Parts: sequence; structure tokens; C-alpha cells
Amino acid sequence: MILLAAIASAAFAQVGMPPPQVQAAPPPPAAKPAAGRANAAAPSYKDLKYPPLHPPQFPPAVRFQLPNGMKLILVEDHETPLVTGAALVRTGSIYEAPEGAGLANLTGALIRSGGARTKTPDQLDTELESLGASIDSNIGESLGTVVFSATRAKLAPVLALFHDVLTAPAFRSSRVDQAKAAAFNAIARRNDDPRQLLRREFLAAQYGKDSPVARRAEYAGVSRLHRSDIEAFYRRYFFPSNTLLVISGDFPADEMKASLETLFADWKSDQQPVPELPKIGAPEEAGAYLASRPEFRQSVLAFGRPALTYRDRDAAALDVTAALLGWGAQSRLWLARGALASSINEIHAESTPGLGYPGEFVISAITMPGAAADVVKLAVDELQKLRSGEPSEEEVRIARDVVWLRACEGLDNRWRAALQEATAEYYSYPADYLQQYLKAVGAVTRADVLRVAKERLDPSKFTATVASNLRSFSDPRGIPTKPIDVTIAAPKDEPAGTAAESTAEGKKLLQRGQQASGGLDRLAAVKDMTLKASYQLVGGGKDEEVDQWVAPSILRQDGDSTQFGRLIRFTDGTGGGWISNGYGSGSLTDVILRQMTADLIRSPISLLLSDRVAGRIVTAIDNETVEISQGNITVRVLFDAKTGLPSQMQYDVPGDRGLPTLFEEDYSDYRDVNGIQLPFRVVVRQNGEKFAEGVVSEIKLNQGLKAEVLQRRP
Amino acid sequence: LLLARLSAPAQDFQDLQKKITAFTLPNGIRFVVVERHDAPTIAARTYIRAGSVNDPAGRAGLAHLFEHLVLVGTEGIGARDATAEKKALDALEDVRDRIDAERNKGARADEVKIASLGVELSRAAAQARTLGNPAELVETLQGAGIQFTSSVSADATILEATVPSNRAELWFLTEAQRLSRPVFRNFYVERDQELETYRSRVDNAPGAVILNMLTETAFSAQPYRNRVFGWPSDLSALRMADAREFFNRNWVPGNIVVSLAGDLTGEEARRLADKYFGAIPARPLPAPVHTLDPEQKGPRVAVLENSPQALLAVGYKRPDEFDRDDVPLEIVRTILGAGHTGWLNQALLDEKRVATTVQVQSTYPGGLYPHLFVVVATAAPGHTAAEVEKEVTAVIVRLQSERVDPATLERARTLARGALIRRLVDNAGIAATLGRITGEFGDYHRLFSLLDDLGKVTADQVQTAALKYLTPARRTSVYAETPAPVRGGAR
Repeated sequence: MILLAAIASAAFAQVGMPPPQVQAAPPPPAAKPAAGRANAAAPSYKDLKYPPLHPPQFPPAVRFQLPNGMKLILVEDHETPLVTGAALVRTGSIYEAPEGAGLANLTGALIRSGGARTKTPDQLDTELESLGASIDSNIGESLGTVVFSATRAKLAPVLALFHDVLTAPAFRSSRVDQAKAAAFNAIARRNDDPRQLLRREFLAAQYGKDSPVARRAEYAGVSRLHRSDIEAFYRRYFFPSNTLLVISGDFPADEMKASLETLFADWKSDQQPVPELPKIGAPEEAGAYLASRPEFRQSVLAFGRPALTYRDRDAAALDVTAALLGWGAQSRLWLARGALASSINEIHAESTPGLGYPGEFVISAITMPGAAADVVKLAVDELQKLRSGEPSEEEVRIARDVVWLRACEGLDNRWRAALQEATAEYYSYPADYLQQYLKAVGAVTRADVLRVAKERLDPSKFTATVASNLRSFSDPRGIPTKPIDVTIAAPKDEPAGTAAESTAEGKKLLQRGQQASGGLDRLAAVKDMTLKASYQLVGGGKDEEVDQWVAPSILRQDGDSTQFGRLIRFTDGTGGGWISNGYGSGSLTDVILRQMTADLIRSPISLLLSDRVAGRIVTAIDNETVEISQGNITVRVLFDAKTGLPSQMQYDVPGDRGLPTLFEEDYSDYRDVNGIQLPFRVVVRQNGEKFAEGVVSEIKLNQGLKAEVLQRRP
Repeated sequence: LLLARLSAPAQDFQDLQKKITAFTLPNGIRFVVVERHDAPTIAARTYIRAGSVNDPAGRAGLAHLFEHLVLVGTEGIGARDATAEKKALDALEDVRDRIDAERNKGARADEVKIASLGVELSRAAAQARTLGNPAELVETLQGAGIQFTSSVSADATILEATVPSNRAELWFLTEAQRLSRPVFRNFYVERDQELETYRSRVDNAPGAVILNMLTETAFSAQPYRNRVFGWPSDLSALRMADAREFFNRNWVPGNIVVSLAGDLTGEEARRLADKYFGAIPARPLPAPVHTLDPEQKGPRVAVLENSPQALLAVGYKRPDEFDRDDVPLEIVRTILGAGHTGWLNQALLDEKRVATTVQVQSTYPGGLYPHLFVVVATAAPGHTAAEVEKEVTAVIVRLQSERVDPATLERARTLARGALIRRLVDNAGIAATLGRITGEFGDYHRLFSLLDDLGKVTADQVQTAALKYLTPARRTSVYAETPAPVRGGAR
């Protein structure tokens, strides 16, 4: 089916298939056609008259607020059976502590990739795919988003997952490590793309390296970031009254409103209001900077200055001026290349409004290495020309059209239009700002262009930033060039320090648990334990189990269930073990070994002594939760704030086909056994649903169990 | 029970269907118009059933050259003096004819005569250049805010544009001229540019190389064996007259579908279509390509040595996309290769870890004629393409030997339908999808029945399609192998 095949061809491009050709405007020769009507048979385009364009128009959105403070914008669109939505959350990297640069980015990725409290990351991936849906999360400079896309038929389950990801992400440690590895990788590669490098260094040159808009993540800072930092950052910003949810698609708005009210009724967290965007200092005066790297094959340059925000009264005039100067094959910079034509691959001028702080008016270009200074000279000359006389009416008309059409781009998609409306609200722009802006663009005159060029585009105040393989760059304005050091601070071996630090917190929590359970001395004196329990399964059926544990890490489980019959499993805690049904036996498969390892960690005495078992890592997650890992198994234990005793445990068990199940166990009915507090009741949930309830009938300590005896196969 | 949960999908698109107007001009050009007035723009697609399958023997790459030729103008746009320019271009061809005639004498050719004809040639070329402006069309469109591009595949040529809605008439005017009165000015410059980019685009990318090898090995006779880009030796021999002949033969009204989505009413589209496209004379349709491959008698293998990456491409011969097994094969593709739950992704990437990427495409390189179901994978470090193929085959055997479970089937149907529906969310996607469907199936309604059909594929159909087509006798494999490590240090 060729329709869908095109998707795959995009992917094929990754293995080197030529991408479809994109038309790059060929440089037009300057000569204009002489004859008006070249051919009597073919009507000439020159005789056509054009009506004015109408502004974009949308049906009104439904707006309301939930009792918990979350704002909603709903837009019905029944053209296709799709529903798309996004939570916009007031946060961003500009709120990071300077030493924690990279935290917002990590948090943004992990909200989705770290799984939810109810779903492991793998479960999320698989379930979303089965539902033909997607969820993504991200935190940028001044905006956090969690986005979903669903078909109408599967909307309810996708919304439920979206709710879980947005309100209860789990930040699982394995994924935190992956995200940090990705962040390290991004740091290592941040100088590879000269354009990315230039954008960063241009901002740094303007506002200083430590400004909230210019600072960057470093190895040292990122490696110090811990799961608890990520969770804290999430909690600080992700709360209902700081969230704007916009949804568009194939649903009746009143039904959607009702189901969102129910769905998000349980999201109650609250925080202090998030402060306004931090102020950033005044920009530096004009400068010239060179970032030199031998591997660059071209010069990339940015020549510009801070200019405006959306609310600037000259926003429209500056946009039209930028288009006239440098957007498209009809623009002045393109037409004025002259002898430089073969040295310039790209050149354009753009006025980028900052959302909360001043944006930039920048002329950027990609050139042959040696041409950088000549191109800056070209830009200076063209700016001066622009400042010395009004442009022609035709130039202004073309530029107005370019800007007008750029503003309408994407608005043929109602979801993107809805998102744009929500984004405008997020940044506190008036509801009709787009209409106002387009009106202003249409009204820009030749005199306006001359005025803003004179008032705001003095090239002697511009900053030139060049990324190139050149060793030197001499600014044609005579401003001395400062080198930019783009060396990336080498990664230090910090993981050990990080682990030690977190282990200390984790140990503290665990030691509190030891204290509450009867003290370390009593616990350490336990040599073995026998536990008998009976589990009632929710779906019907029963499981009788006897666990025999020998310190520190021998475990044998004798089970008899209505479902599986007799099953005996043994592990020595180092990967060895067996499984038997009483007649024959075999070695442990990977999946069962992992289950056994989890059971071993969870065995109550063993759990509390985790800081003394070789090979186990104990990490604090927050004030009440520790994460305990052994090999590839990780469990999370929640200690009750009042009693200090373990109250809940979470762990993932991989299934046969690699699809993990999230287990949660609640412990209660603590009783005294030889001076040690142990739970006699346990409720087991699987993927958030109650699965079994267990009652312990007997716990005996120090019965003289011998590992050699337990190890014998029946 | 499972079927009951699927709503009748066609009902989901009533809003969209209400916005569609379709009509056919007396000359045979078909139009599909979708009214969407939110934004003041229109996406336009012109589908022309003229692809590299239509390249004449010895002229491979001719269809693809039209990516350039559609930009150099028409009789009305780009000529400073149309009559004089036509004469000059004819004169230029005449000199080239005479040079060719002399060259064709081979060893008996008179080099002195050729040299003097060469002087005449440059004079004629210079003369033609002064009479035309090949940039006028591009300048005109850009000056009007119209964005445009084009692409040529094995089956078709597609001209794309985004048009400010107040410039709709300009687009109708220029497009109708491109489809009826093109002038291939600058032909030899464009041809030579294409030759220059050939190497970087085709020869230097291992992924492209193995896909070319795949079609070249799999097809003995069918034109799908030829590269869309053609061959450098064919390209350098192309003449302007070839382009004219190709245009006259294949770019005929009955082969053209125009789809428009955006800020335009059906009525207005009809009026402008009549005014500008109506005057294009009807011409007979060319015969479809009739060359078919003889039955393949067993697996075929080709090897690319000294590849920078170890890659595998496997293709299975399958029928054209009008066959009843087309939709089941799309579900087979989805089960095998869509998302991280795709069976091949799980087996090759997660479980056996023999590959780092795997992609499946049900239709390659085109769909109008019998073609290939393709699997492409990048071998993981330390593994060979042959090892990857072994695992691919194992997964395919699994698909053949058991009926897919209901959950997998339902997931695949949801994914395949979702992928298609998600193309219909903006003007460009709607125009492209409806244009292509109409161009290939003759009726835009096929889109909605296709969505229905994707939702109805059964486990039986999946198994049957896999058994029927994914067989060793229909298979062609290409291995890209990395150089063997050199032993011993000293050179």
C-alpha cells in the first residue's frame, strides 16, 4: 500500500536513501522580461487582480476551570475521528538553579519515559501502541508540555494514561540513568552543529554565560542531579492551578468537560504560584565573537541585536522589515549578493520575538569559510541603505505578504490553531492577538519600515558571532574580535560520589525502619525465618505458601496453588537455583530468577537489612521512600511517616514476552515476633488493580534452618 | 465481539466527506476539491501518472528530470519573445542532431566538422538564452507567496504547492500552462546539473545502493528494475526532443488528477478549472506498461562488498496494489514492523539483538504494477546481514505457522488505520492523500473504503497473505558486508 509506504520511506532515509528533492530557490538572473504578453493564446499572469486575504477564522473555544484550579480549553473538530491534547505547565529551564542546569530538560523527558505510578515505562509504550496513541512530554526554556494523540474510539483509555503520566509520573531509576546518559551525550555533541552552537553563543555574548536564557548543562552539574531533584522539580511546577489543558478533536465539548472533571478530580496537589519569568540583564554593547573549530567546513554567522517582545508596538513593522531585508529570493540581501553569490549558501533576516524577554533581530548566514567578514560587510551596507530611504511599495507589499502567510502557517490544522491559542493565553497575550497582529502587518507602510530601521536597526550596535574553522575573524566595523571558548568541561568521575551521597540518605531512612522494627541488634541476630501465608486471589483461587529464608540471601518457597499446583523454588542469591513441581526440576529461567531476587529483597528481615547485604544498593528517593536494587532488580519501599515501618512496596516483574507487570504490596497488621515488628497482612495489586490478599498465619525465627538442606531438590 | 467494537469508520468522516467536490473536465482531467476555510491558504497537488516506469529504453532518468523541467517556464512565462525563442530552441536541437549524426559514424566521424558544429552550438545556445528567462516562473510564484516543489517516483510525478487563497487564479493559470505548454529552456544545463548531483545522492549512500541492488536483482524484465534517477550514461545522452516526446505521450489530461484542499469553494474551483484547464486538448492515454517479470524460480542473492555498514535488504515479490491481498499485506507489514511492538523489532532488536534498526515496507518501489514487500535492517556490531536474515525468516515463519492472536491483530488494524487517518489533519495531507488515491484508484471514495477494509482484516487473511507471498521462491536478498578485519599489524 503505497499510501502508508511513504511513512517507511521517511525511515528509509536513515539508511541513506535519497530524500525527496526540496526545491531550493535558484538564484534568479537580474534581468526582467521585456514583453508583457508573450503569447496571445496563453493569458498572462500580469493581468490578474488579487482580492485581499481574509484572516484565519476559527470556531470559538469552550473555556472553563476545574475546582482544583486547572484551566481547560476545548475545541470541537469533527473532520477526522482524532483527539489531540496538551497540558501546558508554567515551568522551564529559566527556573533552574544555575548549578542544576539540565534539570528541566531531564524532568521533561522523564515525565513520560520514566513511566507512571500505575504503569511501567514498557507497559506505557505497549499499551499506547495498542491503542494507536502517543504521549510525549517536554520542558523547554519557559514552557512544559505533556501531549497526547488518540483516536476517538480509544479516547477513554488514552485519557486515563495521560492523566497518570501528567499527575503521577514515577521517574523510575533505570530511566533516570538513561535520560542522564542522553543528557551527557547531548553535552558531548553540543558543538557538532554550528547553528546550534551559534545560537547558544549569540545569547551568551548578549546576556552573559550565566543568564537564564544562555546557561547550559555541564557534565558535573548533570551528574550531580538525582532522582529526588527531578521529582522535586516536577512537584514544584506540575500542579493543577499551574496547568492549562487544551484539547481539540472529535468529541462533544460538554461530554469532554464532564469526563475531565471526573478524571482530574483526584489531582489535588498545590504549590505556591510560580513566579513571573526571571528578569534578565541588559544586553552587552556591540561585539564581535569567533568560535573556531577545525572540523567546521563552513562559516555560520549571526549578526543581530535584541529587539522586541510580542507586545512591542513595532513587532509587525520589524517583521516586515526583516522579510524585506532577508526572506526569500525577492529580498534585498539575496538580490545584493553580487560577487558573493557563490560563497553564500543561505542568508536571511529574521525578527524573533521573545515570549517573556526580548527576542532578537538577526541576520544569519551560512557561507564559505573565508566569506564571513564580507557577508557582515554586506549586512552592514544593506542595513545602512534601509536606514537612508524608504523602500518601494512593491517591496513592502511582498514583505507584508510573506509575514502574513508565515503567521497563518499551520493554522489549517485545527489542533495547531488551538495549541497556538492556548500558548497565547499561557504567555498572557490578548485572545485576539493574532487578528491584531495580522491587521498591524497589513498596515505597515514604507515610512514604518524606514522608521524602525532608523530607530532600532543601527548596525554599529549589532553583535557579530561567527562559528567557523577560521582562526581569526576581522569585523568590518573595526570591533576587536573576542574568541569564544567552546571547550566542554571534561566529565569527572562523580558517579561514586553521587552514589555515596544518596546511599547515605537511603541508609538513614532504612536505619529508621530498623529502629522502628525492633532495632538493628535484634534484626541482625536473626539467622533464619519461616513464614507461612495464605493468599486469596481476587479472580478466585487460593495459594498456600511457605517461605524459608536463611541470612543473608538464601530463599526457598514452597507453594501450593489452585492454579499451578505444587511449585517449589530455590535461590542462593547469586544467580543459582532451581524450580520444581515435586517430581522433576529445572534451573531458573531469567524471568523466574528475577522474580525470586525480588522476593528475596522483599522478605521482611532481609529487606530491613539491605544496607548490610553485599551487592545491594540503597538509594533515597524522597523523605519516605527508598529504592533498593540488586543486580537488575529494583524495588521501592515506602516507610510510614508515623510508625517508620514499611507500608508499601513497588516492583516490576518482567513477563514472558518482556512486558513487565507493576506489583504493589500494602503491609499492615504489624505484630511482635521475638521483639521484631513484622506485617501479618498484605494486599497485592497488579498494574493498579487488586490481585490478591494474603494473611500470614505464622512467622518463626531462628529455627536452625540449613542452606544445604533447603538447597536439596525434592 | 471484537468486530462489534469497531464502529463503521466511514461514518467518522461525514464532516470531511461533506466538504469534498469532485468533477472531471471534458478533456479528462480529474479534480478533487476539499473546502477548508480556517486559514487563507490552499494546498494543491497535481498527480501525473508518469514515472520512471515510463522511461523509454536507453532513456532512464527522463521522468525524473521533470523535477527540474517543471521550473523553467512555459510559452507564456519565461519567454522574452516566444516565437523567436521557439525558433532558437529548434535551431539548437538541429545543431545537436547534426553533431550526433556525425558522431554516429564512429571511427569515420569527421572531428573537424564536429568542432565547427560545436562552435555553432555555443552560438545557438547563447541565442536561445537571450530570448528566454528560465527563472521567471519561479520568481513569479515566489513573488506571489506560493511555495512549491515536485517529486518523481517510479509510478508518478507530483507537483506540490501551497497557495495564498487570493492567488488561487495565478496558480490555476501557471499550473495549466505547465501541464500544456511547457518550454524546456535550459534543458542541457538542468540535465548536466542532475548528472552532477547523481553521485552524491545515489552512489554514496549505502542504504540507497542496496535498495537499488534489490530491485535490479529481483526484477528481470519489469521497469521497476530501473533507478528513478536513471543511469549516468543514459542521462548524459538525453535530448530535449526526448523530454518533449515523453511529455506528449504521458502528460495527457486523462493521466492527471488535481487535488486542492483549503480556502476555496468547489464552485470557484470548477470555474477556474474550466477557464484554465478546460482549454487543454484531450489526448489519447498511453498504454500501461505491459512488461511483466517471468515467474521467479527460487531465492536470489546479491552481495555488496566493502560497505561502511552491514545492511540487509530483503524483498518478496507481491502483486500490485489493486489486488485483494494488498490490504492484508499492509496489516502483515504493521504486525512485523510497526512501532516497538512490531515482531521484527522485538525479535531483532530486543531479543536476539542482531540488528540496530529494522524497517518494513509493504510497497516498493511503486504500487501500480507487481512489486516488492521489503524488509531493511542494519546489523548490530559483530553481526552479519546473513545472521539478520535468518532471524527475519524465523519471524516470518512464525507468522505463517500460527494465526495471530486477537490482540496483535487489533493493534495492527488500529495502528494502520491511525497512520492513514493522521494524514488527514491539514490541507497538505488531505490534498496529497486524496490526489494519490484518485490518481491510483480512480475514485477518492477508495480512501474511506480502505479505512474500512484495514479495520476488517482477519487473522486468516494475514496468515494466507504471509503464506502466499513471503516465500523463499519469491525472495531476493541483498547483503551489504563490511570489509573483513585485517589481521597482523605491519603493512
